[in-house]
Amino acid sequence: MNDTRTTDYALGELTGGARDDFERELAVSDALQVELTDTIKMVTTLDHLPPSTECFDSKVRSDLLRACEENQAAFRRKKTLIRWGVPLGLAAAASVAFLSTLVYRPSVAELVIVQNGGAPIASLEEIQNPDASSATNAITGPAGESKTHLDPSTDTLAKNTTPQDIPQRSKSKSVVCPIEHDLTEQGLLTDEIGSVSSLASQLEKPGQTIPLKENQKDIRNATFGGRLVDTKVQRASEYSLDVDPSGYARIRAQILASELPPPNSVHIEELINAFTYNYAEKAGNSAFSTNIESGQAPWNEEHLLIRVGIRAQALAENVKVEVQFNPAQAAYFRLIGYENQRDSEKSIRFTTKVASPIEHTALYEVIPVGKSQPKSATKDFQRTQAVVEYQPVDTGDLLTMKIHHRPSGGNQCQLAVFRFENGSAKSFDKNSVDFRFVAAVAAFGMKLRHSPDSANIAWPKIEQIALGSLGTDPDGQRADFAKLMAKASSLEGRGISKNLFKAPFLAIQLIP
Amino acid sequence: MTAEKIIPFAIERFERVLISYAKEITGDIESARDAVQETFLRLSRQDLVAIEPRLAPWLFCVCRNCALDQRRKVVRFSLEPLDENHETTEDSPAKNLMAVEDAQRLRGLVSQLPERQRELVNLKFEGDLSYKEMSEVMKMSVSHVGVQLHEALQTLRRLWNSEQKPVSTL
Repeated sequence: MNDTRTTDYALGELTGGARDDFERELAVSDALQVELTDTIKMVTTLDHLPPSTECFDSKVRSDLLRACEENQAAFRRKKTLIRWGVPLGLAAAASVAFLSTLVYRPSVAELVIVQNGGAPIASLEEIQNPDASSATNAITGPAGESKTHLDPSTDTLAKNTTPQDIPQRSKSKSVVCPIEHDLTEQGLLTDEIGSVSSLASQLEKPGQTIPLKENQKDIRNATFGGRLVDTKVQRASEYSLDVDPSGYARIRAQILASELPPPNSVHIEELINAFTYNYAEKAGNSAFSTNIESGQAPWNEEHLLIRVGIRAQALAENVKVEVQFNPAQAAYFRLIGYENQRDSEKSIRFTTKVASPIEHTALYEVIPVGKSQPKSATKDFQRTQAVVEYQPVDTGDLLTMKIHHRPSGGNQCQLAVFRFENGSAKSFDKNSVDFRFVAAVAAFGMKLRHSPDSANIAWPKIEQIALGSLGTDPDGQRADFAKLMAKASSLEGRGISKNLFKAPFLAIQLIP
Repeated sequence: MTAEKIIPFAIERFERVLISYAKEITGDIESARDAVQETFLRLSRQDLVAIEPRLAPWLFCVCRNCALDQRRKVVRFSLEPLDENHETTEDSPAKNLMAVEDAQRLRGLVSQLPERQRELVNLKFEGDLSYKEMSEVMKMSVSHVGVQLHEALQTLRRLWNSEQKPVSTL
């Protein structure tokens, strides 16, 4: 008999139903009983074999025990390290990564643009290699402080700029090119009214960190168009180069159809940018030309109107324009248009891509220091007035303009910086044709939006400005606009009567 | 059992049986001791609390691998079974359980078993492992462990009875 169950049973490995079955068979099988008895004898004999006497000698055993305990202690330390060190390490790495996003500063090159003619004073290469530029005289301050210095021999308007003048870094996640400057002033030219200081800088110093300052909070708190902003509270303004090109056509079609567009559907920035202006071509390696002009606001002689014209030439990406007003010069500012983007910050932060040369115009209305404070502005400021209070530093500049961008295909963000010096405001009539025309367009939009400020300027006045600033108008676009404004004016004038007498008019029309 | 006590317990409980088991594989006592030392050192680098519930099969499994490594290293003089003249230099503590002569005879018979069966006999009667634990150490199925162990016992019974020497303790 060769039944493996006998061994299983003898060794206690037969269980459950199999054991019950085996025991039933066992009870009726003598042969199975003999087989099991012999197997149990052998199992018992093997169980009682004397244990092996071969072992370690005592010294080997004690050494082995000590080595094992040391290994185990090391194992426990390693386990503890993994249990706590890895999470802590990951947390630390995450913290470092997070902090690095706050202080990360892509390489910045500042482009130097000349206001008149748009020719850069220094090429990008010269800026990046300051020694190559004879006009450059850079003085680098201690870490965290950036100073600009203009060689007195080249410019009579030399000035020192405090760090507060130049935002060095933004905490805002959406700011693509936070910046830190060691500025070298290259030169300065003046235009009819104001002047533009052109700046150049060395490349940033990698790894240098600077604490967040008030001017950096500017950017984070920046609001958008439409409302007057107190520069003591907030002096930065941002806008995108992205403007819906069909906006003006839509408004035009409605007016030509004798319908005034709903006020909120009128986007002044779209109307302004529906026209072409005589902006300077970009020159050299610069991606942009800037065309800044100021004059009296036609709807309020005490207010300044600032036109910021940009010609973005080169295939840039992540373009964002930032304008900072000097609280010592500008008490309030208002970005004209962009009202509807105030609450959708992400859409305005930057233009993702400039694939072809574009022109962009923005208008700011500025209330200079010393002028009467607008009553309408007060309410808006109460909400944020306690947040930051700036100490005005009078550098003489009215505004500083920065264009953050990354050349297409490039890895480094660049920053073009322009300073616009406040000049003595001339009468509106002395401004350029383009300036006057764009002011008329803005006033037109304000009228359509029923802006309170537009009450100060009558339709005929706007028409007069438009007709007086047609310029060469090669495609007749401006003349068409003047006609459109006349139509809108008539619709506006008819508005009340149209509403009041709509039914009688219909009745009259239905009478054969 | 706390982690601190596991290694002293393991050495105390398994030192001899592992050396015996390893010796069946390596064929010489020094290689067997080296294998068992390595086994305990490996144990000391493990999470003892996790291993403790399956300490015996773990030790025999690792010891088996270490012993096989040792066997590959050393020049083996003989794979012949232990002869009857094999002597131990120490006094046997098993005098109360089995005559020394009978024990030596039975060990001699075990050593004549095929290697796998010999290992299984050692794992069962020295290591006190279950079928399942033996299957893990030997990398074979549980049912195959039963079959192999049954054949080993059948062989031992046949050899033992053929010598017509009854087990003295029975």
